[in-house]
Formats: sequence, C-alpha cells, structure tokens
Amino acid sequence: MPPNPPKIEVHCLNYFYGENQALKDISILFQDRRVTTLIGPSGCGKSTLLRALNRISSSPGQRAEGEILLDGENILLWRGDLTGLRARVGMVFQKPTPFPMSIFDNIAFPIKLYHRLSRLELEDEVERALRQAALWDEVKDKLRQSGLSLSGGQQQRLCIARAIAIKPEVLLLDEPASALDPISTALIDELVCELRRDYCLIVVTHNMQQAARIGDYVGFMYLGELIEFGETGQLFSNPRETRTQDYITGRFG
Amino acid sequence: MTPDPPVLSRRHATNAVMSGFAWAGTLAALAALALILYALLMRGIGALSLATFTRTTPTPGGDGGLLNAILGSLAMTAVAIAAATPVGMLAGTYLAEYGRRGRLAQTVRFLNDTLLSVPSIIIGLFVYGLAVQPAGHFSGWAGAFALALIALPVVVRTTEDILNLVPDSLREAGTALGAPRWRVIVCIAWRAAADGILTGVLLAVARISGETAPLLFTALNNQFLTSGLDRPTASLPVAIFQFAMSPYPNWQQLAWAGALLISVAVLALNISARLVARRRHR
Repeated sequence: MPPNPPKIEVHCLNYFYGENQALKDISILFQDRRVTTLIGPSGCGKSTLLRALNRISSSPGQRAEGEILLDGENILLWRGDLTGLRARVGMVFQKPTPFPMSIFDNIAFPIKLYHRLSRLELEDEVERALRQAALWDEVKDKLRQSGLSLSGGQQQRLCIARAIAIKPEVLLLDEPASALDPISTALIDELVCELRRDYCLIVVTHNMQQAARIGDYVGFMYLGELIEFGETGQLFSNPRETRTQDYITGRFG
Repeated sequence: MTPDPPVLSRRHATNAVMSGFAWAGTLAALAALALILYALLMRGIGALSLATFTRTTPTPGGDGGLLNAILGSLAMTAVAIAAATPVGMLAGTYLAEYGRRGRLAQTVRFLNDTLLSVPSIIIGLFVYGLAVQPAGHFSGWAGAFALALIALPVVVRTTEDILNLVPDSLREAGTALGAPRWRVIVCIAWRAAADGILTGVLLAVARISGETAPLLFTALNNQFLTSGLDRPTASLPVAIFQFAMSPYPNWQQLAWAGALLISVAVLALNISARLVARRRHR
C-alpha cells in the first residue's frame, strides 16, 4: 500500500493535566484517506491524543508542548476562536450524543453554523449526510421524530452523519462502537471503511479485532508513550516490541 | 449461613414497628390534607356562583363577587412571572454554565438560597420601602414586584439544577462541531432542560399565587375593579384574609369561595408541573 501524504503530523507532543503528564514525546503521522487506529490499555493516553487533535479539552490546567501540524499549520498556536479548526476536524464520541431535537435538526444544526441555505438546499445536505452515514433508508420516513427515539447504533450513525454534514477533512472517532452490540459495531466498521475514501480517519478502540478489521495503520500506546506504530498487518502479525506482543496476545492490559 | 431464630424474630419486630411509624406518619399528613380539602369543598362550593366571577366586592350584606380579586391576582402573578423568568433563567444559566464552582458563582448561589428562605413578609416590607413609600401610594406594580422577588430564587435554583443534569458530553458534542458557547447553551443545553425549567416556573407560579404577606404592604386591596396596576389592587389571598376576618356572613362566604378557587388553581398547577416533568422522561 503506497503511503498517502500526511494530513496531521504530531511532533514531540507532551501533554499535561496539571502536574500529571498524560502524553510523553509522541510523534506520529496520520495519512490522508487512510484509517489509523490507536490501541492500548485504559489510561494509556490514546483518548488524550485524539482530543488534542481538535483541542476539544483545552480547559485551564491542561498544557500541550510540541507541534500538531494540520496540513503543515501548527494548531497548538491557534488562539481564540477554534471554530475553524472544528470545521476541519470532526469528532464522534464513545457514547452516542444525539441532541434533544428531531433527526433532521440534528443534522441541520452543524450545517446552519456555517452556511445560509434555502430550505431545499438544506434538505439536500441533510439527505447527503444521512446517506453517507448509511442511515438514510432507516430514517427517511421519520425525519421529524426525536433523535433520541433511535436505537443506540442508529444514534451513533446519526452522530457520524452530523459530524460529516459539514464535510470536515479529518474525522476523530473515540471508541465509536464500545457501547454497541456486535451487529451495530459491524455497521460502524463498514461505514468507517466507506468514509476512508474521503476522509483522514483516526479511531481509538479497545477492541483489537476491530483495529485489525478497519485500520490501515495502527499505533500501540502504553503509559502515555507511543510504543509502536506500523501497518496493521505487520504490527499484529509481527510486532517489533515485546510490550506490543504482550498486549495483543492478551498478556496484560 | 442460616440466621439464628432470635436474630430473625428481632429483625421482624423492628421491621413491623418501623413500618407502623411510617404508615402512621403518612396517614397523619394525608388526613390533614384531606380535612382541608373536605372543608374547602363543603363550604366553598356552596358559596360559588356565577356572580363570584362576574361581580366585584359587595357591600356588607349586599350582592357581589371576587372579580376584582381574581383579575388582580392573575395580573400581578403574570407580571411577576414575566419578570422573574428571564432574569432567573439567565442567572441560573450563569451558575450552571459559566460560574460553576468559581467564587462569584458560590457567592451568588449562597445569596440566592438566602433569598429563597427569606420570610415573605420581609420581602413585602422591603418593597414597601423601595416602591410604595417613595410613590406615596400602594399599587399593583409594587405587588407584582414583591411577588417577582419571591419567584426569582425559585427559577434560578431550578434552572441551575436542571442544567446540571444535562450531560457534559452533549455540550462537548456541540463544541466539537464548532458551535460557539452561547449556541451550545441556547440550542442544546436549554432545549434539553426546557421541560424541567418549565416545571420550575409552574411551581413558582403556584408558590406566589397564594402569597398574602408581601401583598399587604404593596398592593394592599381594592374594592373596585381597576384598569391598570398603578393603583391599589385586589388579590385573592388578601381578599380571603380581609373577608374571613370580617363579621359579615356574605363576606365570610366569599372568603370560602376564594379559598376554594385558589386551592384548586394551585393543585392544577402542581399537577401540570408533574405532567410536564414526566414528559421529559419519555
């Protein structure tokens, strides 16, 4: 598989929660139009790394050192309004988070943040997003119903549709299937593989089968360090590091 | 391990005694409520007539009704809630969304809880000094102001409590889409909390519609129908107070009718508040 140009480059990233160092000297490249998964035991920093990529957790007491380059531009230096960053780097969370409004309005909400569209154009955009998230056929007759009325797996695809409605360049998925049953998980996996054609996808997961199924590249993290990074097939079949070997064979974590 | 028989029998005895106390307490509370409702219905229904709703205060011994008191109560309660709801919602939103555990928020929260428990007669005296004395006369506006001060802390408190129940993950999801803070609050947090806040407002209406003490010093009373709130204004609670203390049988009858009306209204408000609150769990 030929490498694609990098979308996000992380150089020597150190991340602190107060005195506590959550990420230690992380350097990693995320290629465009590829799926990169991040695996590792709980507390290893994979979610912190993901959340640093669109700076969703920049509350006081947290501090990042190093560089995160999005198309060559260091997003850690962005000050003030981060709307432009979030428009380019979308995120889907572990627990589905439909807003307390109709299915249609859930998707229209982010679109209306960025565009002034006529009703018809808006309807087109909503349909496009729902189709891309493979949810359209299930909800096309009940767009006025509350987003909360959907099943867990549908809610999560609704959240993915909502994230891609504004056509970001990067999509961050934080354990998107850990709260779902196996069938819904399979649907999410299929969806990720579809989205790979248009987006740079970064997926945090606890589930190594899932990482093996959907990932082009995989990074193994442990205690805030990136232990090993490589193509998925190579890392799972022939890891260089013993800690990686121990983790993927279930000896710890 | 099987418990020894003495352990079991002692446990059963304790259970029986404590259940008995709980039942007795519940019955005592319910009996008081039932007696009040029974007396109100018996005496009040007989006193109700069409004239109660269409005529103003009668002369002692003459014919009349509670129209001026009903309209005065409705007007002052409406003005008070219209003023207290936006201020209270914004203050509650500040506490839940911006202030959180900061020093200013802690202070505001403490002062609000204090206001919540200030005796309502004190509120009446405060508004008397602030609005009635400088103006030189009692007025419906002053009454509405006093009622608003009583409703305000209720709305602040419920808004904050309900917003705290909205999970942060929802706010984060909004932020991750690039929505500015105010939009996350208005379009997502408020919407998720809407039914709860409405419940709080309804309970505040129920609370102030029965208040008497703050109106004695502010709106006072009026035997006639007034066209605005800038003169002394009648209200149901004050009318009940005045009529019940009077020696005239027809006024005492009207006091019963007013007491029934206000109890039914408060009961209806409490029931609708419960219905709204239940809707949010669907």
